[in-house]
Amino acid sequence: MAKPKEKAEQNDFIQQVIEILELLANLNAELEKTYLESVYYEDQQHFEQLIAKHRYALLARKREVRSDFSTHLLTDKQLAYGHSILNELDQLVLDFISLSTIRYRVAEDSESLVLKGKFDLFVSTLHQFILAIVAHIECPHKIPNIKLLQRQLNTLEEAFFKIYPLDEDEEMTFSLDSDAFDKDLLLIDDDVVTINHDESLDALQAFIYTAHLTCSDLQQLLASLDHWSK
Amino acid sequence: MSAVLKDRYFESYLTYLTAIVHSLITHKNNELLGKAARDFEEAMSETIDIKHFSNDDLLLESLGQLTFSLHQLVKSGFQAEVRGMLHHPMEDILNHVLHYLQSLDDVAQNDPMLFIIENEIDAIEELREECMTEYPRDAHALTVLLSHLKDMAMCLHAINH
Repeated sequence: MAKPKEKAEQNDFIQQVIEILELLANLNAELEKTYLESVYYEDQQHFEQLIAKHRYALLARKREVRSDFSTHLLTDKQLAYGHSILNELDQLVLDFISLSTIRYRVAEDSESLVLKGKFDLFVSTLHQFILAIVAHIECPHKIPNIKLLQRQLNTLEEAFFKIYPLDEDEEMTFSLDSDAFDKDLLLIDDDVVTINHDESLDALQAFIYTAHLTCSDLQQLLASLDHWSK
Repeated sequence: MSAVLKDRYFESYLTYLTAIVHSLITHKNNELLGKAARDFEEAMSETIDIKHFSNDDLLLESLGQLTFSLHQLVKSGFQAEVRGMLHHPMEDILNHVLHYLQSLDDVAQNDPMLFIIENEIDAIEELREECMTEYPRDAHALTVLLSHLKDMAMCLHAINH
């Protein structure tokens, strides 16, 4: 059985993990406002500023927790799982940032906007899932429902392939040359960069692929947290 | 935004991008990549002024997020054969980005350098097409890589305008 001082250190670490998860949820909430939203393109600078603020808060706290970690009085097993929890949190930050890069590409494309409802549902379920992990840490009998999250992702994916059926012969176009570059692909107006909607297919595919990886990373985090507490 | 901080930002960006490309090609997620990521995070937080967020800050912020997004792909990685075919285009992109940033000033004609990146991106597009049947998972990962690389090229282009 852990000594009182060790127990306090363990609780301290778990409390810090909860803080990081909450900061991750805050970042996700801010990112969520920019997916497929025309309002984002109207004031890109404002949204990026808010995202930067949340990301800095998250990264700064994560750095502190990591540098504190080795000083904790932990068993070898907890040290190993603690490192794995921190690595998974690092990966989740990258996952969420990567998911959010869709905003650079998809704005008012009529086809992708059809997906908006399902898109919003998945992103908000993702948010709820992070909070469910926090609730699970605090009350272990509350089990986060990963299947619900996966179901929302599958629904989004099915809707996506209905709108953009797989066509291996389809040529993906990307050109930085002369006219196409200036007129279609990248429009620079008052220093604001906007992107041609033809590129949104790639972005949505990238989002779905990254979302699958994110679900898997969340599951791994959950497993490491459970091992830690055993 | 001070020139010294901006230089530090791009220096750490290049180190980080190099470490990411190296990890993508070798499928090794080593300590150097972690260190490069932390250095870049620090350089970003020092360079970007959140209180007085300008267009310059917006571009550096976007470039930073795209770099983190490329890093995200390291964990899932690619099959050895795909990594082998990815080696040259990724290495060339890295070198072109390096040359582009080194020549970045008001009078330099940088765009031709950026256009060369297009050829490398095209090579990765072809690789993706080849992977569709044999390595579908890698083809999806290449879609993600391409999406981030194209946005990165656009950010780099916009930095000089």
